[in-house]
Amino acid sequence: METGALSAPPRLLERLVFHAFPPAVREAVAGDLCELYKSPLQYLRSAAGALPFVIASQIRRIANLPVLIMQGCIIFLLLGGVSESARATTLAGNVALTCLLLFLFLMIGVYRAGVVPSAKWAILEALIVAAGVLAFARGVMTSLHTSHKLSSDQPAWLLFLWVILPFGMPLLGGLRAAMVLAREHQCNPFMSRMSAPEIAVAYDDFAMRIRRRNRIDMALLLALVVLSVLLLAFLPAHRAALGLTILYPVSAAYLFLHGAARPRAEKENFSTLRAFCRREILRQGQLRSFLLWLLPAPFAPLFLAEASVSVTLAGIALAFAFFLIWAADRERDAHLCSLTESLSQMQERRTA
Amino acid sequence: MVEPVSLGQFEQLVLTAIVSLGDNAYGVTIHARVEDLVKPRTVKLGAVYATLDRLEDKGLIASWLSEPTKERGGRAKRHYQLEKPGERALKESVQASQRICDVIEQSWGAKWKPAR
Repeated sequence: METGALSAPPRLLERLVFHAFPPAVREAVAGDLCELYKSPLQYLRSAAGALPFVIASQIRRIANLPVLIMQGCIIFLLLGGVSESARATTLAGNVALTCLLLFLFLMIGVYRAGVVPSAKWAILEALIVAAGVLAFARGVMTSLHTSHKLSSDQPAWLLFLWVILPFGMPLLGGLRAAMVLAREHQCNPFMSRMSAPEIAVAYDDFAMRIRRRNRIDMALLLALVVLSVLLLAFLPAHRAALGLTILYPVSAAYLFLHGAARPRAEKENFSTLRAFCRREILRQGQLRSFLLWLLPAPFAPLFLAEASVSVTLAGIALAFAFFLIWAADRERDAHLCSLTESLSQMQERRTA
Repeated sequence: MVEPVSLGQFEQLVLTAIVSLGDNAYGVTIHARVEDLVKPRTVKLGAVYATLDRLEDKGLIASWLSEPTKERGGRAKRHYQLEKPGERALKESVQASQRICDVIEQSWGAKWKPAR
């Protein structure tokens, strides 16, 4: 088929089209479009025709519905939620903005999937998100202060003014950098050239680590039930918040029943085994992402309560917790990406 | 007992194209073969990519990247091959099509012949 390529597209156009496609598919799609090249107009038309399908397919691949629902609820509540003072138009605006932000997150996810971020990019991204979190906290605290709900001599205001505001950025940045370093030390059992039995051994090792991880996660989830009930007893707990703690034992039960890595078939060939590993790694990744975003879920309905000072301060603490969850999810995603990337580029090593 | 996977018509076409192309099954060749199969209709290249992704997620096909070639601007090809569940699903859908043909032939008589 390659004989059909009479000439190559202009370099600039080729680069433009290459970067327009999501990274997970851009290498193969850009190559295909290059092979079909006849004229710059035809090339652009083919790329524009393929792009919506490719993006929709990638959205379907990366979308994790339970995580999206939780993220949507969190954004909606942070925007003001369904507080009694909010009017119908504000509510509609908040819903529209939540949907827009979720779509934006999906698109970021599509263009992020298949790329392991460089440390430089990770730091820049962390600084932007951390600045957003601090700006949110500052806005909330200032509004409390100006409405005389929080006086200048209260410990919460002093803590915010002298600790969180000056040290928040370096602290969040430092935590994010530690996560990047921790990810760089994570092992990747998949090498550039492996035989089918070697992949089988690597997969069994992966499955064993998943079993161990599931046991720890189940214990953590059950401990969180007790902890969150105790914590909510000291906070002005909303009934929904207590009700949502049921998500922890339900998730622990799900982990027990379906969390293990699926057993592989015996005597599979190289490509089948490689595809099976890739699917299972992605499934485990989606499960871990859900568990991460689940952690603060029972506390999100605190925003539904009347906006007392303690509830608002708890909201700020949650915003910081979301930063850490977002960062941890990002690093988990990057590790997953390096594993699947290794698998898709792996060549078969024939054994004697 | 393995759960049977039902295939849509376009998925059957893409799987058939992959089977017929053997080791040379990648985006461009699969798209060309599918267009051959559905003549005189045309098929969008993007629709082929989306179907390939879906079939891969169902575990019916597997893909891998080859070495980059100069003819493709130094880009690699993503090759596809049928997996055992894919073979099984294609066989089942071909058998179902065969049965449909038989029933129509019985109802409409021998003069009916599907256009080729």
